[in-house]
Amino acid sequence: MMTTPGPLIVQSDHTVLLEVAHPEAEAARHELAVFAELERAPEHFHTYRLTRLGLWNARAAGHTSKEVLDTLDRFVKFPVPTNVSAEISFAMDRYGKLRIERKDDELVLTANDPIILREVKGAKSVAQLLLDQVDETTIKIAPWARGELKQVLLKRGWPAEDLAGFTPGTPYEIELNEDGWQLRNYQLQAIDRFYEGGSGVVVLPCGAGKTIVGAGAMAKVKAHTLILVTGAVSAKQWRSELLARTSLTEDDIGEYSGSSKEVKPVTIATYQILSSKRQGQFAHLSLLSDYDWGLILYDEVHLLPAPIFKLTAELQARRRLGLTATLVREDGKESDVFSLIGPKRFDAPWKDLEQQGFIAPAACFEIRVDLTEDERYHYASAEDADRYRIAASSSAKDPLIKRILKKHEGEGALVIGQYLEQLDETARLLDAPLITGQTPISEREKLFQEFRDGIHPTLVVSKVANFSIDLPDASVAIQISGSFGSRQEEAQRLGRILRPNKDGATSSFYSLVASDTVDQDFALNRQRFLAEQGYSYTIMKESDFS
Amino acid sequence: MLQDTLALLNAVSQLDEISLAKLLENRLEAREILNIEILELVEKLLSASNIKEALKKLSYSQIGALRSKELIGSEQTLASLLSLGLLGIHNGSPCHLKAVKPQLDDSLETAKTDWRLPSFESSDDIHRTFTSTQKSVLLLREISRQPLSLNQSGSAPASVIQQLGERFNSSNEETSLLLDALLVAGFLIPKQKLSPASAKIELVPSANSDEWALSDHHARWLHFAQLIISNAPELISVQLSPDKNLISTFNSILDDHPLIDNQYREKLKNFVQMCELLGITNDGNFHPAIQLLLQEEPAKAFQAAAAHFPETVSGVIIQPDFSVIATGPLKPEQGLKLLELVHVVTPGLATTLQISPDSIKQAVANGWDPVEIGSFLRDISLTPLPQPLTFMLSELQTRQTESADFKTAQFQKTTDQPEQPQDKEVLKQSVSTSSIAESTARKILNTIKTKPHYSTLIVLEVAKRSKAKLYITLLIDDVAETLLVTPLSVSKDRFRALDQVRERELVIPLKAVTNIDLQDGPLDNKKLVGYNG
Repeated sequence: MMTTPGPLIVQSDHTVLLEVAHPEAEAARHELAVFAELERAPEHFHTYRLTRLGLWNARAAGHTSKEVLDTLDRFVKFPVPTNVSAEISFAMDRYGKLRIERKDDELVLTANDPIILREVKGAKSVAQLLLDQVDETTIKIAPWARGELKQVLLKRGWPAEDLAGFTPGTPYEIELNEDGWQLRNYQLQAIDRFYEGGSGVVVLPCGAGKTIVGAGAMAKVKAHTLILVTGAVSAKQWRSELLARTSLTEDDIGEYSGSSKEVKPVTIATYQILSSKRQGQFAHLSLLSDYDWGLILYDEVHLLPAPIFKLTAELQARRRLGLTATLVREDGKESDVFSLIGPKRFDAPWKDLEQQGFIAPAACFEIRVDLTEDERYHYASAEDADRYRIAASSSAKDPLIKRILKKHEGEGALVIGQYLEQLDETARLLDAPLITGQTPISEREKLFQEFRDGIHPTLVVSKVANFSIDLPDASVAIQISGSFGSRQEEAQRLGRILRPNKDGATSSFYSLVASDTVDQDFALNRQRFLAEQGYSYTIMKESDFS
Repeated sequence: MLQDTLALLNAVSQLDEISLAKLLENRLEAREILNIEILELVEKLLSASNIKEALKKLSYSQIGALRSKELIGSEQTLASLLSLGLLGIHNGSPCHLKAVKPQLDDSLETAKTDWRLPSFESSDDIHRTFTSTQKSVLLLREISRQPLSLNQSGSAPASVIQQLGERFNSSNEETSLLLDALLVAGFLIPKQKLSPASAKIELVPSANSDEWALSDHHARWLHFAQLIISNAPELISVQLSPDKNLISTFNSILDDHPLIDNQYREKLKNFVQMCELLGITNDGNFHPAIQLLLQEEPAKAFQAAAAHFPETVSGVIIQPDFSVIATGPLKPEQGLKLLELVHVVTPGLATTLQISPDSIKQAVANGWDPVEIGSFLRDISLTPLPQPLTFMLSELQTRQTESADFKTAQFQKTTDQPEQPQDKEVLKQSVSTSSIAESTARKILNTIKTKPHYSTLIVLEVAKRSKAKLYITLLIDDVAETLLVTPLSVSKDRFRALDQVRERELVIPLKAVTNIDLQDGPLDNKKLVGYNG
């Protein structure tokens, strides 16, 4: 059989392999990104997946099934399996047969074929969201049901094309202040793809400037904007970044958190305050719906709490932008992010940005320590639920932490862990400041500043450091324990040291793991996401570390 | 339209209460039924979308009656159509409704492809040809590890079909067909299960299946195809011809043989689908190589098959996440050897595989040596092995060496050693604790042997959790006896264990235990001193 030497291999399970070193790989990647989801990006072959969501997304952007098949045919090594080409045509041809439109100022669901409408309204989950039938092909829907209807129709395999448009929101002049810096090419692409689509998610590695993409999106939309962030420290960092990068002034930006309740043209609120309850009610959720926001921006969208998810379903008329480094939800709700916030609009492989010098190269190490004799005995006789804690907080890790820090003397280092008792011990051992959820914001900021100034070369931090901390000088991270096998936590923690170092040096990420324990099993799972992004761990025994 | 309305009104008004309720249930939604007037009902029943929906449930005979000009059908068929509101009554006799015909034609047009024979999506698809043969080999390998027990009706249990399908990315239907194909070709054979408890039949690979699996891809496929064709059901076999479409042959057999029973019809259908799945036919047309085979030109058929298959690749790419990519077919021998070390993620012309700690452990359990694994992977890999993989292999090697050393380790019971309070605590805590890793157990046992205060109780408890096998020496009535057991439960003064040689449970008093030795490696008969069960 003759084969064409293309860079793509389409497999019958709908995965597409891209040979990274192939001369046509870049061109193929560019076109593939329109309709396929990047699943893993290790060193030699990247795996994309053709999903209905991805295909519908491409259809929504105006691409036809013929174009998709032509693209594949142009780049494949073997012919596209017929089951895959049939599915591409079938799935893409379904898109647009149901539409959400605005007629006489009312939202309606319309269908090309009355049979389709009949089929979908036969489902209870759909029927309860519909109002009166106007004619054989049109049914009215309530404005609040727009998101949920899209969600249930999507689950039933009939994606509705949403042509009802977005509420512009209260206009507000926001400009980027590109003084001494400019948007990078991938940031521009991310902003444009979001704006063209109207809503969706941008996935970029930590340190690749997601905040700047957010600021760029605000400057495109030019309207009142609500920014939802993970915590107060993150809120302050958003504020200072916006002040530095845009035309916004202090007076334009409000903070809506536990300590302050300002609503201004640009308001930064925490997930925590929005999902907090008073007398059994979500007391602050109305912030989302009571104001005329033109853009709602969800930072670290993979952490979006359930109540905000629910209300977001009702906010389909507003532009929504989700930002994240890892669209991996440990609760498996990635598809809800897709239907409620929007599809993934932009994704850049971590290693690509590393090669371009936008994020620091990082060397990852897993170093295995042996439990002490007493710990081993204690571990063996412990209940399953306690075993990870016993293994992860082994005292055998302590001397190793010191040795690693000694090796990296002069570099800013973070020691990150899960268990407060263990962190407390470690901080004492290293004579380093400890930052946990209990550390007051002002104290945290002071310590961060002192860390930046080199007063403290090492910080010991709990999981509060997993997100949105701007620590430009950290180039070493030592993970001593974590949230079991959480892949996104591992990625976020690596992200703490990915901001490019001044001299272009390689950052170092150490994960200390107790041998022959569940700590080792969880480590394997934790590393999966990064391994799929092309990061390679060097595994060694404590005795081999030098 | 008026004619239809009157005829249907007539038909509906003659339905009894039960039939009317059934009609409403079949044709309307629950909320539409409330307070509906008869005229309104007739109007709804005559709407195009409603008719189309009702047509979906019709049988061939009902469709036949509706398509016949003179409304020909059995009394039962016509009655069923009347009760579905798809016929009217005119002058006291059932009559066609004009509104039905266009919807019926439309539905038949749409359903044309699967009206007679559900077929796999196909074209001249090398993927299907290659992958289905590859999956057949994978199924054989799997069954050689674990024979497939048939259920009482003589077929493979649905749960097993599903498991096999999930393993190799196949639908249940595809997996069943491939198993059938392997049976037809004689690569799987039924065998009486040698178990005193049951007289079950299981499927096992035949003696010649290994040789077949190791032959070149195109030869493998052609041989498979040849065996299947030579075992075609009689009615098809007599009509096999290179230029005759197999699906048409099947359909004409059905038309010409109205009395064929379901079982034989299924057999014919299975054969046709099997040929389609294995690429012997493509939309019923024989593959050029198979045409040559049917013309008794085996050498040319062989050449045609060889031209159809892609070249083999020289190796695989092993990535840092332990995924293994073969960008084309591997040489069968190489591919099958690799399969012993990996899980299959996606079979196909290009195959994605995955190495995991479990797959490597499994390989070691099957007799591979870690050094041998490393050397094979280095040979087959076109890229350097990822460091975590070499680390894992060297760790495994170290463990094996340690276990060999450990064989000599023994635990002497100190009969005068009082029970330690912490022993009881361990037992208490262990109630709901699942087993621990073997390597962990070994380390603990190693530790314990140096600590006289850790009693027999603890050793047995750890062995129980790690499912370790122990040589236990007992002194009963001044007679020493050594058994090979796995502890199942341990209490203060006795333990329950499974005698690994006799396969029965024993309850052994702790005070009788004089020596414990961990079994590491194959059974050492010499150790079973005075063994009398």
